[in-house]
Amino acid sequence: MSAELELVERSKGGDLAAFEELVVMHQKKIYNLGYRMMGSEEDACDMTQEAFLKAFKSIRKFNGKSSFGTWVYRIAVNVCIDELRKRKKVKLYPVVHNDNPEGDGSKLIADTEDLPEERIERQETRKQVQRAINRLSEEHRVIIILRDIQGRSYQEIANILGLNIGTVKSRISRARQSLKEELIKQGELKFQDNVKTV
Amino acid sequence: MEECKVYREQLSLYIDGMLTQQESLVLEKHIKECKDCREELDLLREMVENCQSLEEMEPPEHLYPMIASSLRRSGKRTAVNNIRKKWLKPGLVSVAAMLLVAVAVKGIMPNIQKQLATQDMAAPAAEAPAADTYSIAENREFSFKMAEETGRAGMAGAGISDKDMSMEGADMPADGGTFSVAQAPAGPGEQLIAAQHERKIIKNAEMSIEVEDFNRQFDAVQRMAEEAGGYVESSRSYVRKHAVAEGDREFMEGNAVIRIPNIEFGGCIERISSLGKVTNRSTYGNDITLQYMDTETRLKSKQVQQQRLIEILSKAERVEDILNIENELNRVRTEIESYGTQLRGWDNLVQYSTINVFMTEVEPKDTQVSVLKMDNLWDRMKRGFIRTTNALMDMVEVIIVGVGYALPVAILIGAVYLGWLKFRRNKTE
Repeated sequence: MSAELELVERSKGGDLAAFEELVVMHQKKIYNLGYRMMGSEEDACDMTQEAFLKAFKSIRKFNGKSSFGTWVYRIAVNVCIDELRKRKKVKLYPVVHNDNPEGDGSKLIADTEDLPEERIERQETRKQVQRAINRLSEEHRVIIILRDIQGRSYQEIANILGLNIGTVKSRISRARQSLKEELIKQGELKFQDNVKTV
Repeated sequence: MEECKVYREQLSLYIDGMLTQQESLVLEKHIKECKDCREELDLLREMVENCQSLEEMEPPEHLYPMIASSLRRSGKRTAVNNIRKKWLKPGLVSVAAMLLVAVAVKGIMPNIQKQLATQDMAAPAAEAPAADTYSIAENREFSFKMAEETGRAGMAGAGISDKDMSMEGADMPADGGTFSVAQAPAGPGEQLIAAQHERKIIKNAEMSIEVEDFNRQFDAVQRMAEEAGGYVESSRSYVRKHAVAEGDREFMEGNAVIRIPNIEFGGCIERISSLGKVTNRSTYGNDITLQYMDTETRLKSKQVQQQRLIEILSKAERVEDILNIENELNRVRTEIESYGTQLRGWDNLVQYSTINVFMTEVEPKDTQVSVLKMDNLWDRMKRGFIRTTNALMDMVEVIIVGVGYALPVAILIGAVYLGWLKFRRNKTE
C-alpha cells in the first residue's frame, strides 16, 4: 500500500509513468466494473479510459482518506452511471447482448472440468444473469456488481458509493429482489413453481 | 405471512453473514418452520452463486495502450493546467495587489512623482530667469488690489460715476478689465462736475501671446510702439528649454513693456493680437479725474492767490511788509510749480497707455508644410536616443522602487490568499 501511496504522490507531481503503474494495478477491476455496467467490451474499454483520465486530472483532489483503488472505483462508477443516463436520454440504450454477454467465453471454461452438458447449461445461466443485470436500474446494477459479482464487503461498497452502511444493507436487499424479479420475468429461474407461491 | 415479510428482508443480509448472532438464530428457527422462506433463501443463494460465477475477465490487450495514450495526450495539457492553476491565480492576485499599492502610494505620497518630474524639469527651470513669473505674480496681486479698491469705492456710493466709467470703458477691448477709482471721497456734487469734465484715465493692458517666429514678432511689437508715437519702456528676451516631447528646437520667450499714445491703445492691442495666438489679455484703467480736478482747482486758487500777492506787493511801502509778501509769494509759486508738475505727470500717464506683452515661441503647427531639416540630423537622433534611454531607465527605476513599496503588502495579501485556498481545499475534502 505504501508503494501505491508513493505512486500516487508522484502522480500528483505530474509523473505520468507513476500513474501508468497505478493504471496497470487497477485497470482489471475497473474494466470488469465497466463491462458489467455497460454490457459490452467496447463500452467497458471506453469507460475504463474515461475513468482513469478523470482520475489523473483530479489526482490532486485525492486526499488518501480511502485507498486509491476505492477512489478510482468511485470515479468509474460515476462515469458509468453518467454514461448510462446519457444514453437513456438519447435512447441509445438498451444494450442487450444475446450473442455473448461474457465476451470471450473461452476463457471461462478453460479450467472447468464439468461435463459438456453441464457446462453449456451453466454458460446459459450466466448469460441470463448478465441479461437480467443489464435490465436493472443503474443504482441496483452497481450494487449487484459490487456485492455479488465482485464480492466486495459492505464497508467497501459504502466507501465506494459514499453511502452509510445502513443504506448499503437495504440497497443490497432491494437490488437482489429486483434481480430476482427480472430473472423470473425471463423465466430462467429454476424454482419457478415455488416462486409463484411467494 | 405477515411475519415472513420481516424475515424475507433479512434473508439478503443472512446469506452475507451480516446479521447479528441473535438475529441469525431467530431467522434460522423460522426457516426451519417456514417452507416458503426456505425456498426463497435457496433462490437467493442460487442467484448470488450465479452472479459469483460470472468470473472476472481479462481486459483486452488494447485497453492499456489506449489508456496510456489518452493520458499522454491529456498529460501535457494537465501539466500546463497545473502550472496555470497553481501560479496563475496567485500571480494575478499579487500583480493586482502591487498595482493597487502602487496607486495608493502615489496617492498618499505624490512627492515621489514630483521628485521624478522635477528631475527632468529642474535644469531648464533653473536656467530660465524666474523674474517673469514673479512679475506675473506681482501684476496679479496688483490688479487684485485694484479690484478690491473698485469694490470699496462702489460701496462708498459712487454709483453714477461707476456706471459712467464702465460705459466709457466699453470702447476698450476689455477682457476682464477693471476700472479703479483710487481715491473716491465722492460727494454727489463733485461727481456731477467730474462727469462734465474730460475723463482722466490711465489705461493698462497685459497680453500673453504665442508666436511661431519669435524674433520677428518681438521686433514687430517694439517697432509698433515707435510707429504709434510711443516708446519701449523695457524689453527682455531669453531662451526657454522645453521638455522632450517638444523636440530639439530651442524656443524663445520674452517680455516687453511699451507705452503708446492713448488714442492708439485699442488699435495697438488689436495689432499685437494679430501676431499670434493670444492666451491671455486683460486691460484695466485707473481713473484719476477727481484727483486731477482737485489739483487743478488748488492750482487755480494758488494762481489767484499769487495774483493777489503781486497786487499787494505793488502797493506795499514798508520794507518789512515787502519782504514778508515776497516770502509768501515764493511759497505760493513753489506750490504752483509742484501742482503743475503733478498735472503734467498725470497728463503723460493719461496720454500714454501701457501695454505689457509676454511673448512665447511655440512649434509651428498646421500653418506650413514642414521640411526635413538635414542639419545635425545625426546629432539630434543621438540626443533623442539618449533621452529615450534615460526615460526608460527612469521608468525601470520607478517600477523597481514601486515593487519595493508594494512588496510587503503583496506578500501579506498573497499569504492571506494562499491561506484561504488551503482552507477551501480542506473544506472540500
